[in-house]
Amino acid sequence: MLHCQGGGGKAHRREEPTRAMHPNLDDLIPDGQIFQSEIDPILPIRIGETACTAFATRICRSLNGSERPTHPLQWHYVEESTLTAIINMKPETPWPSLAQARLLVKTAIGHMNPAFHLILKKDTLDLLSSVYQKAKFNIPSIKCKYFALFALGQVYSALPYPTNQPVPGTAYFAWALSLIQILPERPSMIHIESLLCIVCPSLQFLSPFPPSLT
Amino acid sequence: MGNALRLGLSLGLNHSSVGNESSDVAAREHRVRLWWSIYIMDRFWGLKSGFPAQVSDEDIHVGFPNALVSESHREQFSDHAIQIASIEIARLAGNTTRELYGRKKAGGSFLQREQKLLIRQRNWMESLPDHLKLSSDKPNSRHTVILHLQFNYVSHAVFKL
Repeated sequence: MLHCQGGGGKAHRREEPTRAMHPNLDDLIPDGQIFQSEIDPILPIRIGETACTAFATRICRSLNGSERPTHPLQWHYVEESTLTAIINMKPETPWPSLAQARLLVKTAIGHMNPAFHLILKKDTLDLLSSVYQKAKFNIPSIKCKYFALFALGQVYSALPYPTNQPVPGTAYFAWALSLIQILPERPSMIHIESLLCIVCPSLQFLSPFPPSLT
Repeated sequence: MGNALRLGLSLGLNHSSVGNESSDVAAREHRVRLWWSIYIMDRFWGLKSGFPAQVSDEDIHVGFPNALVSESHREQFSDHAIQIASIEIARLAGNTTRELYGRKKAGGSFLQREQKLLIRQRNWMESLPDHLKLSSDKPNSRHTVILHLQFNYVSHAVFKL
């Protein structure tokens, strides 16, 4: 758009900034939000634009020329009923032997560190030995933390498994999750450590949109 | 993870220890590194899922992890340089989510914002310590490879739009 100012015989060209020059996301991606849901009664989950699912959807729409969402569906996850059934089973999931426990914790530490510092390495192993020596297996905060570590250790040490088999470590994970349902009014570091140890296997192996992310 | 972040905020992990701070160096360093682990998870999973970050960079007032040299500290902590590099990648991830994928109208053109992010990525690569750079002459450690894979994932998010 040109604006000509009179007087002096000189025309001043001033271009108005256009949306093409300063596009925002709505201009680059004019389609609406993407939601993922197969079953109507269940609230659909919004797929953020940074997600690979959204990128795949846009590609599919461009190739198919279709407006319907055609992104790959990801419904392979551990359901809440499975986790609940594990917790309700008798007898409950026992602590492993001390040797196995140390191996699982060391495996978990080896994979988490150094990018994610979630626990103090030496103190955690020392406390584990103390738990077995003094038979303090029923303190909820301690059991939650170590069961979360056992779950991580099992998952990281497992061989490839068929998709119709439970994810390794699910039992320990279910118990760890059940032990931290009610958050303490006066939290301590062990509660935060436990929550983060629970998040790791949940996000990587058990669900595409885990409630533990929220 | 949201619960972990909220508990961390209630304990003031996003602030440097002041007042009744513990004289225990390891305890203080544990608080710092735990907070930054929360930050890294928040930013990475925000980029993966498209959810906004749960805590702003402006609300973080704690320094980076320190290099602790005593033997007892080495038994408790891992190499601080890797976590610092991960923190910087997480920051890039957060900036990418906000500046390129955010619906809020940002200053500057899209290409300018993208260019700034690419410059920051190049700076990250150049500022890496030597032991964290990928080597073609000798085997790379698993953690170094994972670090660079994370970086490539964030780079991909910049380019795919």
